[in-house]
Amino acid sequence: MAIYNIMVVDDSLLTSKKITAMLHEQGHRVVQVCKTGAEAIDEYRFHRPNLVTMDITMPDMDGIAATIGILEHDPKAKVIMVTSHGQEQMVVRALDAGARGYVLKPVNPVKLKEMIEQVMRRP
Amino acid sequence: MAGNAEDETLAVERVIDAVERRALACLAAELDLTPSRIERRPPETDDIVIRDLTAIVAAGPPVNLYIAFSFGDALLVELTRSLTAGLENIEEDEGTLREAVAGEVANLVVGHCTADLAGRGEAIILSPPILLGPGTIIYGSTGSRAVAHLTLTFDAGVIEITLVRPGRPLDLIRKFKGID
Repeated sequence: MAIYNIMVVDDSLLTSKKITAMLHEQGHRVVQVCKTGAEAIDEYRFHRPNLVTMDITMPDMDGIAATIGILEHDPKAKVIMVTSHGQEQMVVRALDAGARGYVLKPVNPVKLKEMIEQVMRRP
Repeated sequence: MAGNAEDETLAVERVIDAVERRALACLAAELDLTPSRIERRPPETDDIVIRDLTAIVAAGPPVNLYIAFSFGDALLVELTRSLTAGLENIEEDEGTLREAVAGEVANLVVGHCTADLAGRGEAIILSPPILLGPGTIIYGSTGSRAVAHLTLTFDAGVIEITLVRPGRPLDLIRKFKGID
């Protein structure tokens, strides 16, 4: 199985720890954990991860704005939204912004693994 | 043309129905918790007294409510134990973890509620959870008022859920941040 460098962006301490543990379990490297959208844009430039998992609701800048910021810097960036939002409109907004896919909170490790494989298969 | 804001605001009953349904589903699925008692009651006063650690999520139009989750101490200890089980590299103290758990549960329940409450218009915007400690009072004179209460009683304690209709939403968010 391929191993990727992944950046986790989530203001929730529990969710970021859980996603990090799942990614380690799946053999990936977590290169950075960010708590804000602005931090994510800065750290993306430094770490250039293969993939980003991005929360939508964060205090300073939401995950959709942060995704747009990352894609302005790297149009090929691969971002998966991780959200508790059950509403279709929010998912559509995220995908319109350039996210490659999404998983719902609470995160299921199998669904996260499948989404990573699906997103990384695509150019 | 913009519609009348009052007309576009969802009825409180519809919101509290969704909150109850999603809270029960979330607690059962994630934590295997089922309440022994579910009680709804009308607010007793305009003032909102925070007795336990409370996580508040603001939900934008058409919900236009602050949804507050107050966790009894013993229940929060149990929830924290369950939700952090198996996690490595926990360096945070117990108080920080309990706040994280309170915020996480509020965020999950309200986030999932949006699936029930969203119409065909714009997405419902949610704030990140804001934490308030015991002893805080939000006075009704600020224009905000409690509009519904829901108590879920478990063996280990209670979760009190209060729906608050803010007088001026942005001011109230600033107030919460100022208190936090």
